[in-house]
Parts: sequence; C-alpha cells; structure tokens
Amino acid sequence: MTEPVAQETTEADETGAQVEARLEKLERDLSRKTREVRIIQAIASELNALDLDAILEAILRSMDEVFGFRHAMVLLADEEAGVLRVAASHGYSEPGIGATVRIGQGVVGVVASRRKLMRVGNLAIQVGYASAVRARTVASNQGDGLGDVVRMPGLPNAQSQVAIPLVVKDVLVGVFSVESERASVFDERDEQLIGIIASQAASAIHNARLYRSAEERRRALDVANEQLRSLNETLEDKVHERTLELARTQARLVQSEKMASLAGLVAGIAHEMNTPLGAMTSTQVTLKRALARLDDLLREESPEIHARHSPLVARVTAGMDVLTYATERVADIVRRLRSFARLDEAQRKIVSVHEGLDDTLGVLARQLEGATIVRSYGDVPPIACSPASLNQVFLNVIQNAREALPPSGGTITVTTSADEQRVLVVIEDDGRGIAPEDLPRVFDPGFTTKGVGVGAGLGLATCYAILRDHGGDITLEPLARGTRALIHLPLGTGST
Amino acid sequence: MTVMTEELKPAMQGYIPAVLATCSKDGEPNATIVSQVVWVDDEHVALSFQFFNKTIRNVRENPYASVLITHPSTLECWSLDLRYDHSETEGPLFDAMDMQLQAIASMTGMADVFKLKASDVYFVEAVTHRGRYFEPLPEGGS
Repeated sequence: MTEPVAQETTEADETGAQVEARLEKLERDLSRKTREVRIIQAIASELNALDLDAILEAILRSMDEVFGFRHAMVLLADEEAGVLRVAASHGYSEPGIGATVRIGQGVVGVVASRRKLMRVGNLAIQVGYASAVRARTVASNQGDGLGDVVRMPGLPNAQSQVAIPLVVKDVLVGVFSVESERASVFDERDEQLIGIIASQAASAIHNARLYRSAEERRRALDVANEQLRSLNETLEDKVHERTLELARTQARLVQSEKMASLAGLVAGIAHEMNTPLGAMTSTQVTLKRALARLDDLLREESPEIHARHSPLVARVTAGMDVLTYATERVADIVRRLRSFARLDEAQRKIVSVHEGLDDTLGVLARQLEGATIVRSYGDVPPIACSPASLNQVFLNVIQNAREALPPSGGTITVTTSADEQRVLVVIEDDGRGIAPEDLPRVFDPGFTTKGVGVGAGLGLATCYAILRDHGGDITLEPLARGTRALIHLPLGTGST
Repeated sequence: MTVMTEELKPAMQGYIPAVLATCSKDGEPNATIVSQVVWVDDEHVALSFQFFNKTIRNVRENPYASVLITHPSTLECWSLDLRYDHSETEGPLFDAMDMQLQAIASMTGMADVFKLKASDVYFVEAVTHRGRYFEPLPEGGS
C-alpha cells in the first residue's frame, strides 16, 4: 500500500523531450508575462486621472475583465476613526458601499494594521474551525471575555482572498481585496499581479484623494470668503447706518437748538408786540367812537360845517378801518407765530394735523406768494404728537416744495387721509423734482442740492429723525413732474 | 534529497484536519488534530505553536513526529515523517501565519484566545502515500 512519492532529480537526467517541454513552458511563461506587462501598462494609463470614483471603477473593472478576479473591492482608510470604509466594489450582489471594518479586524483589517499582504486559500474552513472552538468554549461556560462575531463586507463564504495594503509614503491609503468562493484559487503569480496594480492604484488613489481634499478645501474657502464678504458688507452697512443715525441725531439736536432759539425770539417778539398791539386796538376803538361822536356833534350843531367837512371825516373813518385791519392782521401773525412755536403748550398733546398744516402755511404765507396752494383735507382724527416738532416737519417739507417751484407759479397740494392705524399727509409739488441719483441720499444729514451756503442739508434729515421718534416715517417719490412727500404718522400716542 | 510534490498541496489546504503524532522522550505516544499544515518549501512544513500543550512538550524533548494529511477531493492520504527543526517568532513565515490567525480570530471573537507564539518548522524526512482510509461519497450523495 505504501509507495514513495518523493522525487530526486538532477538536470543531467533530463531527456530531450523534457528539455523541449521545459522550453515550451518557458515560452508560454514569457508570452504570458508579456501580455501581463501590456495589460498593466494599459491599466496604469487609466489610473492617470484625478477622479477618485473613476479610478476605483477602472481598477475593479480591469481586475475582472483582464484577470478574471470577479469579486473585488477597495476600502479606503480613515485612520483617525480607526476604520476602513468600502469605497468601491465589483461583482457583489450587495455593493456594501460605506460599510466599515475596524482596522485590525478580519483579513482586510489585519492587512491594514500590519501593512502587509495576506493570501488565504481556506478562509471559510478556518473560520468554521474557529467558530466551532468558540461554540465549544461557550458551551462549557468559558465564553466570558470572548469578543463579538463580526460580519465582514464581501462574500459571506469566501475561501480565497488576497488583500493588499495600499500605502504611499508610509501613509495607509486603503486596502485592495480580491475574493473567491473557491479554495486556493490565487497563487503567487496572482499575488504579484495584484500587487503591481495595487501599487499603482495606491498612488493614483492617494493623488485623487489629495485632489478631492484640496477641492473640498477650496470650496470651503470660497464659502468662507463669501461669508466674510457678506459679513463685511453687513458690517459696512451697519457702520453706515449707525453713522447716519448719529448724524441725524446731531442734526436734530442742532435743529432743536435752533428751534428753541427761534421759539425764544418769537416769544420775545410776540410778547413785546402784544402790548402795543393791545394799545393800538383799544386806541382805534376809542378813536372810532370819538370820531363818530364828533361827526354827530357837528351834524347837530352846524349842519353846514358838517356838510363841508364830511369828506374829511369819511377819509379819517376809512383810514381807521385800514388801521384796524392792519392791526388785526398783525395780531393774527403773532397768534400764528405763537401757535407754530407752541410756546405755551406741553411737549406732547392731542392736536389736529390740519391745524398744524394751516399754521405752517400761514407762517410761510410770504414765501408761498405766487404759488397755488391746494388743500385737500380728509377726515383725519387728532393725533398725539409733539406739535412743535410736527410743525417743523411740515415747515421743512413745504419749504422744499416751494423752493422746487419757479418764483411765480407752480402748485403745492397738501392732502390728508387716515385709516385705522395711521394718518397720511401728502405734500406734492409740480416743480423741478429730484434727480434719481440723489434720491437715496436725501435723508442723509448734510446732503443738499441747494449749493454751498444756501442749505445746510439738515431739513429732511431732521424730518426723518422727528418722524421716527413719533413712530412714523417719510418717503419721497419722484413724479413725472415734481416730487411727492409721503408722511406717515401713527394714530394714538406714538412711540415716544 | 527528499522533496514534496505539488500534488500534496491540496492536502495542506486545511479542508480535512491533519493528525499529528508525537512521542515523549520516555516513549509515550500522543496524537492530536491540527487544523492546518503549512507548506513552507518542498522540504519543510510548519505548524502553529499557540499553547504549550503535550505536543509541543514532546517535540521539544523528541524532535521526531509524523503527520497524516488528506487530499480533500480524492481522500488520498500521505504521512510525512517530520523532524522538528526550529521555531520562528518573526520573519515572513511567522508574519503570514500570525496575520492569518489574527484575521480569523478577530472575525470570530477569539482574538484573546488564538495567539501565535511561534511557527514551528519541521524538516520533511520522508513522504509516504497511504492510499485512502475513506471512500469518497458517490456522486450526488450527501
């Protein structure tokens, strides 16, 4: 039954036929090697790309088509997380993309941790033995401390597997794995071939990952730059807005001081004028009565003299009427001045918007000569406001409207209306209008189109500040001819 | 010079466990099952040394051993007369055996149990064909 199978041979024993067979084999080997070199060159050219997915696809496809390795996968290393992650696979019913393997676990995990190639020809059998030992250990109550059974990505019953670490400059890029359900199908030649491809693939994958990483960083940088630019713009807007706000506050303070000075002056003048006005009014009444009495006496005592001097009496009477009218006019002006300046009133009170508009138009009567003033007042309830401040708004806007009109002619239309929440005052002129490029800046303190030394550029800025204090606002609309100012005021108490 | 032929390789794939016989210096025999006999070259095989058991003790005392391997398809058997040569705790052979063991152990939760202490390398002094101890199942059988 026994027979020796060990062989003892020397080259001298070879026959001619054996030499011929050896030569044929060498020729076949040479031919195969030449073919493999060409294939490797072809694959290398495909790996000369920067698209990671394309590279992985090229590697796996060529492994199948050229070498017949039907089941292959590339796992990329995430050393920070201590795992390999399936990046591409070929020939599996479940691609398993994204599945992870802990470095140090299973064939691919151990290959990654040792950074050495592994070729196994009986994997499922070995796993079967180990599982049987485990089951026996557990059955004998000695299973404490055993680890978990791990399901690896890939073929569930792989017998043969070659796994090669992909390393570039001592950096683990990943692991390339080829599997088969047949035992010992991979030999040393396969191992060498896969090794050569893997070596080239490692560099290509490494470069592609670097490129992808650089691209991601560039995109992240672009996003960050965009955010920074946006933040800068926002900051600039905020600084600009804040600067405007400060300038408006300053303008309002200056204007308030001016108004306070004007109010003091008006108060002084009004007070000083009221006394002589009173004397003039009472004296006129006395003089009128005296003249009437004198006229009666003359008629009774000397009709002749009365008849001769009656034209003189009539002229004096007419003169007295003119004086009375003029005195009443002066008294009305003084009253409007006091009313406009609201010198004798509390800071805030419930007032009529129409009264404020009329007072303002009265104060500006002289300036408005030559222009047509159209009042179109709606049903507007009284509002809570600072009357003096509100009059200042009307004054500034109406003055601007007047200045936009020619010296004689033109129309200023004042319209009021109200809804449940607010009052709208529209002051419209048909003058020269506002240049579109000036419109965004008309409320900026210091901005003026009236020329140096003519306007301070504080009028509309002050209006804006006052109305904002009242919880209202003001906007300007350019018209085909002229400008429309829309003043909104809240009903009720306003914001301050 | 004795060399092992390629036809023995399938019998070393571990499909069918091998039977290893050793003997103490006092002449007491011991037989055990080994999951795999590793082909090193055509004159040497290696066995894993994981636990200091009776086999290891015997081999360290008496270097001669015999292992019976079986071809998984034909069920042909061969016995290899072995002489313990040396142990390797590093190098390509040890790394290959250690990596394989670690891979299998980590998949089955046995990493703390299966640890390779050394790769014991044996010189193959003789190879003897033993024929079949079992008949293959008829085709289609189970």
